[in-house]
Amino acid sequence: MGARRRVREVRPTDGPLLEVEDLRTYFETRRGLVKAVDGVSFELIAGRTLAIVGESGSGKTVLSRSVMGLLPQRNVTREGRVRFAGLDLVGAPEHELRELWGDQIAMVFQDPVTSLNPVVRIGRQITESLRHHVGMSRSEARAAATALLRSVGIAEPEQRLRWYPHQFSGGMCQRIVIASAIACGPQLLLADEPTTGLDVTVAAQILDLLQRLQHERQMSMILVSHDLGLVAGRSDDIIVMYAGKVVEKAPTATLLSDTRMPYTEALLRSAPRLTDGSHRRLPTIPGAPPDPSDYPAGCRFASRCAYAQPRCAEEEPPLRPGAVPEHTYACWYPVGTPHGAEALELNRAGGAVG
Amino acid sequence: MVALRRVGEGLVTLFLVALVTYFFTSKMPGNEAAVICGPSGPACIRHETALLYLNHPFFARFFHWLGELFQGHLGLTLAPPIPISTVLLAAYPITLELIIYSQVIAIVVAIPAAMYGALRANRMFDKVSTAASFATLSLPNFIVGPLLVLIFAVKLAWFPGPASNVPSLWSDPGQNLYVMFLPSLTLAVGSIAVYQRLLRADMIATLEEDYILMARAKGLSTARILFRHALRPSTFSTMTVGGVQIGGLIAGAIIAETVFSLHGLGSVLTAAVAAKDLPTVQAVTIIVAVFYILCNLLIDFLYTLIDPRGRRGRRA
Ligand SMILES: Nc1ncnc2c1ncn2[C@@H]1O[C@H](COP(=O)(O)OP(=O)(O)OP(=O)(O)O)[C@@H](O)[C@H]1O
Ligand code: SF4
Ligand SMILES: [Mg+2]
Repeated sequence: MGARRRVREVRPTDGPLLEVEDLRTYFETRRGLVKAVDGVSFELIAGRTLAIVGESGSGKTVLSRSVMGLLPQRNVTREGRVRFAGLDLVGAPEHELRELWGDQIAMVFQDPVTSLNPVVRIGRQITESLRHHVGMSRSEARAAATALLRSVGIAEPEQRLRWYPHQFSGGMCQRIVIASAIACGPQLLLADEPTTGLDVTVAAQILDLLQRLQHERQMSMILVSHDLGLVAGRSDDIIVMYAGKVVEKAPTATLLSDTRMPYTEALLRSAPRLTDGSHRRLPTIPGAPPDPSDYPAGCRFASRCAYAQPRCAEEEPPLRPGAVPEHTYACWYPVGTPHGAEALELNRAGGAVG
Repeated sequence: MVALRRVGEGLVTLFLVALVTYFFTSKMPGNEAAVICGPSGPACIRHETALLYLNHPFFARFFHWLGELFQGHLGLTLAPPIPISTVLLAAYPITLELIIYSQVIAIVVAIPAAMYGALRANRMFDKVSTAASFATLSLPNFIVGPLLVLIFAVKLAWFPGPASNVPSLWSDPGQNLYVMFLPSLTLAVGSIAVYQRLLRADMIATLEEDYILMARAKGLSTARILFRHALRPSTFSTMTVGGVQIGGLIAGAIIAETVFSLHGLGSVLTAAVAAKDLPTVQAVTIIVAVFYILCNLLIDFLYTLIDPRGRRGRRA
């Protein structure tokens, strides 16, 4: 049957499947050094779903790609530690990472229509990683691809394998992308805004599909979204990113009920309702995020924060634990504390912000 | 449907080419009957005039000629009078081989050069190959040919020079390809430059596409990504330009034949023009036009083969 041994057997370890420690990802550009990811740490336990949320430009895409190592080959610096199943991914050369990519770590991209090659039959796009990583024969891979298409809900999979991407709708394309991503049975699936551009009902179907597959296959998943409302019911933990940093991190229920960071609160307030469409911009937080090549001193959210005090512009708040140890946030005047209430009251009285 | 329309367009083009060719060659100096008969006298001239419809109006003459052409009657060459078809059959393989061989060389050189240049855009190799492309683009064939002869035939003596004996491709392929290499390279130089530049530009754009990132995320090797995912979507403008420059290629082939003293259609044409041999000039022109149109039909076909979006398809 000719299945070649995988070059790198990755065994489940006792600790978290993924540990990210002080990850930094900087781009050298003509504008200067863009600090897209600026010291991010988190852990992901096997079998769980972690959501990363934040406004456009907060560094979610760069973070998810940086975790995987899937960055441009030039003008990038990536520092910190990423341990995946006991392997160190930051020091590893690309040819070693390639053995993990598509096999142990897979990614679903934002736009399903452009992430499929328009001139290659979808069958081949699904089977190529199986042939490459698992060493399946043509017919084995075909059979596997048929089963995969069926499991992502595509009817008549055998015939459809011969079709080209343009013959499918956007939602169908995303199902195909998902099928090809999970083909080799990865332990970690990164989904970067997998429902952008799809209408609301289709978006919900895709998220349900991802959730079902994750349970069936016991994968871990990182779900990136700018929509806190969308991931609220579909994640175990949530990381809130702002200007390249984690500003709040907690189990989903805690984050929603016990919000500490004013930015998270603002995101929650501006979360679109289901009827608004899936990729509506979030207009309700006044102001714009800071320039990633020139962050201000102190708290990066200060210029837009309703709680901000003089201290915020001088001293950067560190991440500190909340009521439960899994909950951390970075704020001097947290929501739901006497300190925060006082700060908000002061600003209201002074008529400074909202 | 689309294919039928393209063939129809090809036939219309062919008709127009025939008309224009006939018109201009009939305006060439010299009465055809007089040229054929030479000193044979008025009886002969009268006879030939009737035979060639020369006393008829232009369009009657033209359609008579076209009808003969369709039946494969290309007529006789002037001196010695042998069937034009015999002359063409003997000459066309050289020209055809020259063109195909040159395109094979051009593709074999241009694709890897363009890929490597695109992969490491603006680095050393890319800069050098782009500069080389620019330089060769401004060199005409009648300079490139002698230059190649000077370097590879005279100085280095790696390849035979002009006026070498060319065995047929079928009887001695090795020797044939060896002798034909320098003439084909002469013709290929321009194509290499054009293809390299177009392919490199399109390849750089393709490498930015999401599906390339997706292929990378699958852990595929760079070579696999380039050949399986990036190459085909990057060939569209190269193919279009390839079709357009076939005309220039034929002109280049004629020059290369002259430089290397090869007996192809080019030498038939130049000899015929010098001898005012109208029927032969007309025949060669028509053959070249047919070839040009066939090539463009072939490129249209390749297009649909490479880009499935052009084909009619179902949607789910
Ligand atoms: N290759 C790159 N070169 C330079 N800057 C980059 C590059 N990729 C991303 N950036 C910058 O990094 C910052 C973070 O971008 P990123 O795409 O991660 O944001 P995001 O949170 O995913 O936003 P969105 O919701 O719009 O997808 C942005 O300011 C972006 O301009
Ligand atoms: S209160 Fe201060 S520290 Fe907290 S988010 Fe607002 S600006 Fe930042
Ligand atoms: Mg993004």
